Amino acid sequence: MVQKASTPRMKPPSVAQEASLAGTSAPSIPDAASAGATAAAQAAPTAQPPGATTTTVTDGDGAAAQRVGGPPVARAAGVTPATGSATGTWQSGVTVDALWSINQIRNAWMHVVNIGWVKIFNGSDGAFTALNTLASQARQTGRPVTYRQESDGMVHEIYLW
Amino acid sequence: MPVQPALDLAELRSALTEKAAPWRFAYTSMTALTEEERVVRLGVALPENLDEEQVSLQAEAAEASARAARAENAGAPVAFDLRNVSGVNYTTPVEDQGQCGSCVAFGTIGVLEHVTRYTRGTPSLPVDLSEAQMFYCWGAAAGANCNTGWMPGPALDAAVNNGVTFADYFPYTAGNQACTVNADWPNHLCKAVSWQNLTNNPAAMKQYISQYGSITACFYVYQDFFSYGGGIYRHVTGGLAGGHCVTLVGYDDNQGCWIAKNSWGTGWGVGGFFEIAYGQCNIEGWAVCGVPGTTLRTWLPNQLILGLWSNEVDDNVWAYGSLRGWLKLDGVATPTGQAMLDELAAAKAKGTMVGLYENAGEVDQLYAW
Repeated sequence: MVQKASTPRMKPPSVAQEASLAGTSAPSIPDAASAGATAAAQAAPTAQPPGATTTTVTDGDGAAAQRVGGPPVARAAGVTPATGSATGTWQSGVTVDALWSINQIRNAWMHVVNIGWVKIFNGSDGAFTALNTLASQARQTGRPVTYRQESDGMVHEIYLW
Repeated sequence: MPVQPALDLAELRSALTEKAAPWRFAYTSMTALTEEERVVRLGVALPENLDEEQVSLQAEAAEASARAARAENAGAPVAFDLRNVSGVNYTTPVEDQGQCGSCVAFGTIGVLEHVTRYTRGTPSLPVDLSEAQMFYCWGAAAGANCNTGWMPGPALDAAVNNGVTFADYFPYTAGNQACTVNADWPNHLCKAVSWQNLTNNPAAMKQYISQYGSITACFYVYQDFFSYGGGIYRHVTGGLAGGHCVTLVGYDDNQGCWIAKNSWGTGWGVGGFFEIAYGQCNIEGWAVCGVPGTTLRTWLPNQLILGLWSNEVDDNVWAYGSLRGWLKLDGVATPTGQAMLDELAAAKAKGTMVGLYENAGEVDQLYAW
């Protein structure tokens, strides 16, 4: 279980990190020395937030069940949801217990119990902000989420129940 | 057509007994009326030069045709009843048209209400639409009144082009009257997305009912129908009284019948509903119309937010309301949509009510109380 005290910190920016801030895709690296000691024991980010996504639990059927009546299959006439890609891996009924972000453009992560850190989709401001709001609410309320993670490693879709 | 002498109810009972009682006789809200009062409620003008004998002869063929059009072959279940879809009742309450030939307004409004609930999966959504606006505004503009009646086609044209407001903006009372609808009606509205003629196509009728919840149909009413108290109706005795429009809410291929909601109050039939055998009274052959969806423009009743959703597409956030189901947030601009999401997320976290203004499937405004 990740505690508030384990929030990752940045170590002094290296050259590489400055490049990251300038717009490269290199992720930022939390301070392994100051935060990692605690984080490692609690599955918090050590090298970088995505480091601990090794325990992948695929539950496609469960996700599909959650989606019944949801936006991608809304039955009412009128608005048709924009579904984007739907080829990723679904995780159903999981709990978000920590969040992480850094002073870089659209770089925020959520920590999922028994799964680890996953990055929030960073393709645009609007989608990034909405998905991050859902992740934050999930973390605050402890309510279950169902999410889709694409091959780019990022969370592209979230249901908050 | 001239009003027939009232049917002798003893004769009806005897006729039912002779024919092994295909349906049950009852003293209903209609049997208490005079024959003149009864026929006023039959608000669909019969075709000119109607050959009653021919109608009777065609009933057998129509029944065979409807039985042959198996619902399963149209991708529909063998039987469907909107009052009990996996234990859920999507119908709205039975109404009473009173002394006015406004059955078309009730038959079509019933379809709009049922389709609104069923296609959204929201059986408790309050959707009581104004038969008064349909009949005394849109009907009157087309020349209809309590004495002439109307037809479902032009009524559904009005539902598509103008929409119908809710009953609180123009409550129904029987009797010719002016169109005194609340001036705000364009902001408190249900519209049909389109309508389709299903006449003489029983397979499509079954498919439409099971997919969208209801359709409207007209049929010939014989005098014995006024005393219907349950079972599967077939014409047994009595003369032709007039034409009538109702809402079909189900069918049963095993029993060979349609299930319908009438507009003669709950004191008639089975709580206002009836079953009629396939092929009877030209039920499949006269102004059968389906509506494949509706849109709403109104403040919804206060409700809880049970779910939120978004994905990688910008400005694509949806909220699941306890009464309404999924609705997209229309923030116009990304920051406004984000503000809506924040407000709904807070309400969800707190478990408090929100007020949503729905406009064609999207939330235009909201209150988080």
